[in-house]
Amino acid sequence: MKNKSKKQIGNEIISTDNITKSFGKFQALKGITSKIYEQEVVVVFGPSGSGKSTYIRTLNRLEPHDSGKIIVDGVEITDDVRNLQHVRSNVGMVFQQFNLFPHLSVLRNITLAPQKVKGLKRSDADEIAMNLLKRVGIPEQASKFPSQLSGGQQQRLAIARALAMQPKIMLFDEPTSALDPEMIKEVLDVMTELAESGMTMICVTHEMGFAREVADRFLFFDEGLIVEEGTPDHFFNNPKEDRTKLFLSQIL
Amino acid sequence: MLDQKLKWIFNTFSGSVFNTVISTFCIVLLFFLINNLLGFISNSEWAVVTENRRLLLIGRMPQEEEWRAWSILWISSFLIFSSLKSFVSPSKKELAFISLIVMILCLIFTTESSIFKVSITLLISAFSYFLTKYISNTPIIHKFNKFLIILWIFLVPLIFCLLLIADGPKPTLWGGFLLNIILASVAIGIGFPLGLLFALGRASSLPAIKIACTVYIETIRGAPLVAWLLLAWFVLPKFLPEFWGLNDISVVVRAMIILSAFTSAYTAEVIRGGLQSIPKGQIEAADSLNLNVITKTSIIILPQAIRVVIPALISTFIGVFKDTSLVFILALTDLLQVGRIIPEQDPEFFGKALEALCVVAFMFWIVSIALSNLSSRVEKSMGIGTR
Amino acid sequence: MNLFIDKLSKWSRSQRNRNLIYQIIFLVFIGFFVNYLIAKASLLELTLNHFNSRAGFGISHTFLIDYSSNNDRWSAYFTGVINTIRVCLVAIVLATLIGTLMGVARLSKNILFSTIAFLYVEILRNTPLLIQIIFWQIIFLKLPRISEALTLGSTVVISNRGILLPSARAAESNSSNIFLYIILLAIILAFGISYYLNKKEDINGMKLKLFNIGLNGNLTGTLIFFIISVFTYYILQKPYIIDLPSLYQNSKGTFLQSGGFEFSPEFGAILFSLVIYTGTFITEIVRGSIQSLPKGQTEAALSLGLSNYQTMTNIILPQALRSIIPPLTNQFLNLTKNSSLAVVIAYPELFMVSRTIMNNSGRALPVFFLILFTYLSLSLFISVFMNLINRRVTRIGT
Repeated sequence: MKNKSKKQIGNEIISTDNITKSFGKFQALKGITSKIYEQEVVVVFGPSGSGKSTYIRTLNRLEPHDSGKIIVDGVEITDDVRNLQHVRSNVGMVFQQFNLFPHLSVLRNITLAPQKVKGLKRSDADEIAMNLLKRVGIPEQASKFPSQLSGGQQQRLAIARALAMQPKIMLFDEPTSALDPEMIKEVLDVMTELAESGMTMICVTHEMGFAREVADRFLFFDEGLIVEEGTPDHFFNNPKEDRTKLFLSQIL
Repeated sequence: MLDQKLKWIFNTFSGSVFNTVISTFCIVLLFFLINNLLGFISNSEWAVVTENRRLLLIGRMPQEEEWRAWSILWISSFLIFSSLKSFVSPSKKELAFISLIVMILCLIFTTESSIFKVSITLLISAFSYFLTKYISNTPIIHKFNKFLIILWIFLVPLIFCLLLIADGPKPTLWGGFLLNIILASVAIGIGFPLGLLFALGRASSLPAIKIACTVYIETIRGAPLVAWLLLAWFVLPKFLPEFWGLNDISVVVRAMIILSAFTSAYTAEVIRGGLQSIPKGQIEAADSLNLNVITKTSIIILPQAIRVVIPALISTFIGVFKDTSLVFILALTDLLQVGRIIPEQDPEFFGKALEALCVVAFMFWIVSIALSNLSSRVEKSMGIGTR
Repeated sequence: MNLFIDKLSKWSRSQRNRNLIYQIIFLVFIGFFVNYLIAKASLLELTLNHFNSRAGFGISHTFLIDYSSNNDRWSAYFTGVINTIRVCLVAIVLATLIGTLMGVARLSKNILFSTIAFLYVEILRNTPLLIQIIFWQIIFLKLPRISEALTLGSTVVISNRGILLPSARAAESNSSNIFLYIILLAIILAFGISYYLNKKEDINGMKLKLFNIGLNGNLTGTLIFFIISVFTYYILQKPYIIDLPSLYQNSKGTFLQSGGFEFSPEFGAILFSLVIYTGTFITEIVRGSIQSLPKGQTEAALSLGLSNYQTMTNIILPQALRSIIPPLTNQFLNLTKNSSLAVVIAYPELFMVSRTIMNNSGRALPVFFLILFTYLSLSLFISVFMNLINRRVTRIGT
């Protein structure tokens, strides 16, 4: 177990206040109130359909919430387009299905947004991109295309792409669920390094080993509500709720 | 609820200047169109349609033979409305829409003399629908469905019988909407199986067969349908053998031959797409089970290929139905021709071309939209059910 | 004897040999059939010699060729072909524009816009093209008579004889040629400048902002082209004379119209109906193509901070184009063949002309082969052209 007491947890950077979200008749979120702090690594887990993906997707408004308040980096998420731009440039997202741009090269996948949104010049963007590729461990793939990479390499590319915009917060939506077992470790290694460098991260994942090592806090979701939250120690050693105990017994 | 509706309206007008401009433009356009449409409907005289309803619907058949058309109509309504309940099970909204269309049709085409027969038609339709609904939970329903399917398959031959027995009117007198339906049914009935064969031929590994089928398909697709129909007029008789008086066949049959050939070429292309989409593994599995060619094709390959392309097939069939209006070039009086000729030749109805055209368009539109709705239903039901 | 049968049965068990036998049997049957056809065909006149004789009929729309009823039938045929190409070319361009606009509209969040597009497709796709052609013909005929023609401030003349639009014809001087060369230069310059600006933006970042959209290379290039054109037009003292349509009465009091570019009712009817009808199919193709892209692409682009417009132009449309082009080509081919329906309103495209020739000469089969050949060539041309575009679009990478 790492010595995490040295880590500085900063100020509140995300706060959600009783947010709800329904898809037609199905209510995915029934009132989620949470606070995320700077440099914190939060792992969200729970059975499927519990609302975990919906929760993190409301944080960058990929899903508009029905009611309640979400404040990210001091800005409230509403329909206002300018607020949205601000939020999205500070929040990066990594998807389960990677969602890489197949018609662009590896390097271009990373440099597109910085050039178009931040207006960087080509040389700067390329430099940032190459540094990121080195950081995630695939610098030699720069001129290839996503389809030529393995699953693990693709997801690492996706992480690099999100990091290129220098976000303050990174969201991970089950990043390793679509990967073959032997490629999960390489992605988790990148995420671990990211956490150690002080990035604020919210991860939806089933990788309990990784979570235990890296997370500062767990959120357990079930049926659209946060059933229990606390440190990893708390969860693994004495979970309070019955539902938590049940779920942990099924996955551990 | 109200909140959501307000959000809708807000969405439409807010956002950006661009959005507002487009919305304003749309409203103006809609206003203009609806205004003109309502003005047209209320100001025009529909006598051109009501006076000529028989011509429009069944062409120049003499009045004594009308009973044939009525029997065809009754059998068809029974079949359509029973199948509607049995196989399609429309929702309340769709039922309302269908009733609306039926009402409009009645309004347009009923005259004093035919009120009785029209009411019989309505009774039969309602009766078959509710009868099916009533028995749909009982075990009879399966036998009934089988009966309906058999009736569908034999519908076209049945129509022919009804038209021809007891010294029926010669095909040249057939016209109007009935002609379009008959031509389309024959074209699809013959064209589909033929197209199947040609698709298989084109996908064959034997070069001779493959080339022959490809040449056939590409040649037919190379020229427009009107050109082929014209060929039927001028040239086909010269190519048919003299025995059995075959080289003297009526124009309607020639049109049927050409339409069938045309449909077969386009159907073949659609099915070829389906054949190509079958994963190689299917054929490998069939081969490793030592199935012979016929079993392999008819039980493994074809069902999967056709299933995938049903929407495209129905779309092709709708196209065939629309194309039956092209037989004007053979001087056949189909629905569109009747609608065009009456305002031109009957002094009583000069200048009423637009009204006639509207009704003609409406009738084509009903059939097309019904078929395309069927197609999206099939798509949906397959989408959920497939792997 | 037994040995022979043995060898034969062994030989026939090979799949290759069986295939050979099947094909031979098939070819024999085909052979009989073809033989029959040829026998019948040789009874007919098969040459196109009669095309060299006098046509004997007039054609109402002539373009590029000076045609009169005294020309030979080849002339008539070529006039028809040119008319077909004219209407098809314009119709293809316009149909693609409308189809793309409506396709994007179908997916728009603006409910009015998407409903109008929906109604457009559902109503006009299911109505036969023939009906639409006749509809437009009737509409055109309902335009006011020439004596009461609409003249919007003497720039257009709209009547049931057609629409006249302003056009330009070269003035006598040589400067009209020079003007063309300068325009060519301006185009090259505009492309060059926009290319240069885009490159600069790429290398230096988007620092220069014009109305918050960056120094848009394309916009600047177009503006430059425009300015140069207008400038040289006036410097060279108007090498092109604007031909404004006019309405006047001659000595007998009949109304005549002249000048400008004539847009006849027939051409208008066939053009409008082809564009609107084919547009519905193109709408569905564009819509289906955009919808078939995984939703994740838009999500990824948006979460990177790209705007809606940037997402559309950089991510969605380039990928959508790949699945649009093959069915689009199909629609273009259909449009070309559908132009033959102009026969119903007497627009003299190649099918109508051929039909007249067939009626006049009584020889159908060779003319039919000519028609087949012409349509096949047109289709081939379109297919090859679209294939080139397809190759460029599916080249991986931008």
